[in-house]
Amino acid sequence: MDATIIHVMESWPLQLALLTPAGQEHVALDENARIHRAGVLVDPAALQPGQRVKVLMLSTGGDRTVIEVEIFD
Amino acid sequence: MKTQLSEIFPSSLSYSRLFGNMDRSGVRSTMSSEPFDLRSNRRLAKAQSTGRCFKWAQRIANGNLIIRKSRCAMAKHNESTSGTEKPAGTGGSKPGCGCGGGGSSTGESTGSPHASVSSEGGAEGASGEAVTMVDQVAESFDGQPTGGELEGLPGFDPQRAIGEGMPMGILTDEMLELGECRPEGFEPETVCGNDDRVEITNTTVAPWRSICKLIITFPNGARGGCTGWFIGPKAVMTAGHCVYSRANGGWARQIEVIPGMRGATRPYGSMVGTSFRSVTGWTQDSDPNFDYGCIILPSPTLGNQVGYFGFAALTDASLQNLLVNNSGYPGDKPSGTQWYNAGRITNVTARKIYYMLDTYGGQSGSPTWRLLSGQRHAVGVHAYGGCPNSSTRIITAVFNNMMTWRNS
Repeated sequence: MDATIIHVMESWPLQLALLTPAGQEHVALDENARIHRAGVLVDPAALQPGQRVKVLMLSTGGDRTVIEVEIFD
Repeated sequence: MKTQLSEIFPSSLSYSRLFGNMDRSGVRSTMSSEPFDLRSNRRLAKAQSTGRCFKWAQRIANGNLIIRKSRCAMAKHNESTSGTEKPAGTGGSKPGCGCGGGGSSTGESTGSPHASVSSEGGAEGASGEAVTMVDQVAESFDGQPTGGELEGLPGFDPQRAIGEGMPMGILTDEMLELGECRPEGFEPETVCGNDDRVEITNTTVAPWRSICKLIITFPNGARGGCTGWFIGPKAVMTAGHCVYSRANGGWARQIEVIPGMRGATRPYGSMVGTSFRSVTGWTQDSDPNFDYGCIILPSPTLGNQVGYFGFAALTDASLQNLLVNNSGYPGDKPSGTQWYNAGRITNVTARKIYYMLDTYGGQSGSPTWRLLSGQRHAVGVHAYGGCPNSSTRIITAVFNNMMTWRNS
């Protein structure tokens, strides 16, 4: 899912407010979520409001968590 | 944030412009409901029937006038509750006593967008979002507000805290050059600039023992961590997204509250809460301006043992450039350790305060407080990263809800 980060909520794991083609969506990162930027693994704290991202989510029994995020600058 | 008289009243009406009096506790005393003018009473009744906003003046017991708004304006501070407890303060509406200028205004009409919503069913009063025209504090506070103070922790560099986030106009050349010293590939993170957080090694003294590690179990089974802080014997303040997470299925199933946690040590044990509070601006609208909530514990034992924070709704002028402190349980540090940072507020909006304090995931819900002459008053609830990081500002409406929750 392509999205833009609106807010980064500092729970742990992080929760994100995303702007997607379908509208605003709140997602939670998996505690082991991998965050990439230019192919390099970075800290989840690198996620910032305004970033364009590609989010990979895992669905389990109707619940979805973010397991991977690619940051596009 | 003063409201001009001409913007409030039609020219045909003439009202004195006075602000309500504050008692020594900083909380507005109960107001007389005597209408100042029959015309205003009729206008209010008409406004109530149509649901339109209306501003009017009310003469209070000491003869002063305060400016009130009808309840339609401030919907999003309606309280939301969860758990099995009957929400406190549930009552009928008080006609004509809507979004007042400060003071306790809970128990307002459930028809107002500020009417509380409970996950248990039922409703609580709405807290009006009056403009914070004077500082409100939850307890006695003497003296004039100045720039705030830092907690005197060994190992914490006060100069860096004082210098970060200062207006560009007063930055020295030396400070500006510090920006060039960042290593290659430096990434802006919620640790803003250099990481100057220090660990709280003695969590059994105030105020650190009132700050709690929260272990949250969400409805979808996910577990998370946040920070909370006691505001009353049974009330633990935190961020809205810690008690109600849209991403994780709504109201938390339970939250374990561990005051003064230090690593694996729980010096005061812990208590599990299943009753939570927030506001409709968060639970219904997911509005980040209303991201705050509270855990109501089943017993006052823990809060009475560790003590609790005072809190204050300060004016823009009092907050601007204020030195503030923050402490919580970040997820990038050894599990269960509490970390402190401080710095200046760099920006103030109607509902949020921004700062360059270093924070990290897990610190959502931590207190952002002013220390002044030995008195600590929280002025915000940390919730968002992004350098500048930000807190939900304790404004009048938030203050009022917190008072209600404190007294639950």
